[in-house]
Amino acid sequence: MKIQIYCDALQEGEWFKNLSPNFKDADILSIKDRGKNPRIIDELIEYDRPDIILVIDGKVKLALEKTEEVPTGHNVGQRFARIVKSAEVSIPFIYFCPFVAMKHGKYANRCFINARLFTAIQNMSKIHNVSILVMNWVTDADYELIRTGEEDREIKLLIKELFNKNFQFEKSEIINDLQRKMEEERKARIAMHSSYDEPPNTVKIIDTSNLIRDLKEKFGNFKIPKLFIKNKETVFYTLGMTPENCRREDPFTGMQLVYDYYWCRTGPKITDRKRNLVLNIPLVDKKRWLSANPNEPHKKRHLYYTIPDALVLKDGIIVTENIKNQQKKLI
Amino acid sequence: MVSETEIYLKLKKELHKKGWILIGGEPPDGTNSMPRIELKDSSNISKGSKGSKKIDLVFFKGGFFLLLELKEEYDYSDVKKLNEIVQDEKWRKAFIIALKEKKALELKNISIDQQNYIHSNNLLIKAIAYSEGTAKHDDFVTFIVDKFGTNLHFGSGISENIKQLF
Repeated sequence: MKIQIYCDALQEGEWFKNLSPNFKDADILSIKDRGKNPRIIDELIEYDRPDIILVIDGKVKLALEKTEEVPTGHNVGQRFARIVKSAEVSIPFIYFCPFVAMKHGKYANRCFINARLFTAIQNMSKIHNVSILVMNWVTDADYELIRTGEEDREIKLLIKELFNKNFQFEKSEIINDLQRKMEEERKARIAMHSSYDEPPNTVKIIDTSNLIRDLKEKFGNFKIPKLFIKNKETVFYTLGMTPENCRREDPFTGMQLVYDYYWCRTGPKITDRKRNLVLNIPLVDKKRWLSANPNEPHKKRHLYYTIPDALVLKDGIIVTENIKNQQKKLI
Repeated sequence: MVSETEIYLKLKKELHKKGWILIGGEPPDGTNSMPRIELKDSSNISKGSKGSKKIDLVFFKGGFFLLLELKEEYDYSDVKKLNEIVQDEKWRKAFIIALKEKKALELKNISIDQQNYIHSNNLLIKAIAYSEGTAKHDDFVTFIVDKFGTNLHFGSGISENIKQLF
């Protein structure tokens, strides 16, 4: 059995290798820039790079993200695109992070995982028929992360079982247990803050025909895709970027995917939506936006043009289907 | 040239072998299972980590803390940062608070008299590591890490007591 552990940072590769005696003879390899890896790796890092990609006998068995940051605020979106890509190519994903931990500083307090992450992940897992697990990095009674090695106990058991089950995730009892824990955590977070079961302040679910009418009044006529008109509702996500700080990818490229899988998507293709997804960037004009965020396929910012149905800017609209059609013509 | 990540991994192992206890730090990329030592600026009244200082690696041995900054190439900003932390009581206090918040010493069963480290800089060792070049600072311990090994340089201001720790 030839085992290769591809990693974004060497110490993470070493950490993963130490999770199982089965990895004793595994090679640790660095994930290089896109285009410089084997095809199976390049495909998986199209949107973003996970920390670990496990390859056994030439086949990717899983991808993993390890972080000590609690997924809340910006951290939720920052890592989400890499999970989505993994799901799209049917590779199981493990997101190892604390469900709760102490945030230090002047405003020190417990920081809880965002419940919307669980819902989006559960929906994505069903849509792509692939296991996506959020595993808890445990903390002590004071909500400090455990760093004695005990934090890896559960993930070690999981890896052991995956070897026993030939990496057939659906046959693992540990995975059923982990999914139950995810659901419990989601419910607990919503019980604590019921607003997490609804869109955040930056996201509104609006009537599509009203939106089209308002946009035409403001910007004049524009070419509207048939599918856009068909969906009665639109998820309208407002990004508070200013002209000065609009050249950025995180967390917005990831957050739009969280909202996509939470409120829009019904199937694996971008067109499989029950609601449209529109990014509203009211402070930035089209010229500034396009110069700061050109549609570069090798950068994460290309997700601004491949995921939403449209971007509404200060002085105009970008309909992404029109861009895709132009690109198809060029090809 | 040796990368910052390679220097990080190499020094973690080598200093451990010499009896230094790893207290915390932050890898150049990604995550590692150790407390991140982030010194908060006490004059920053806004939320967030503006003005804070993170140390790449912190070790402890014989009552001394080793504060180590790493770069692929020599970078004066590392020297400046460590000078500020070690020479200013405000930052020494922030260092002790950071260790306490993260239970970094508790995790390793280390107990210290905090005031000794806040009121004086005698027990804090400044160290930098990079992959090529020569040592440049009298009051620093310098690690030059290349693909053949690690060369350790003590500045002329480093005491015999400290030299014996390596």
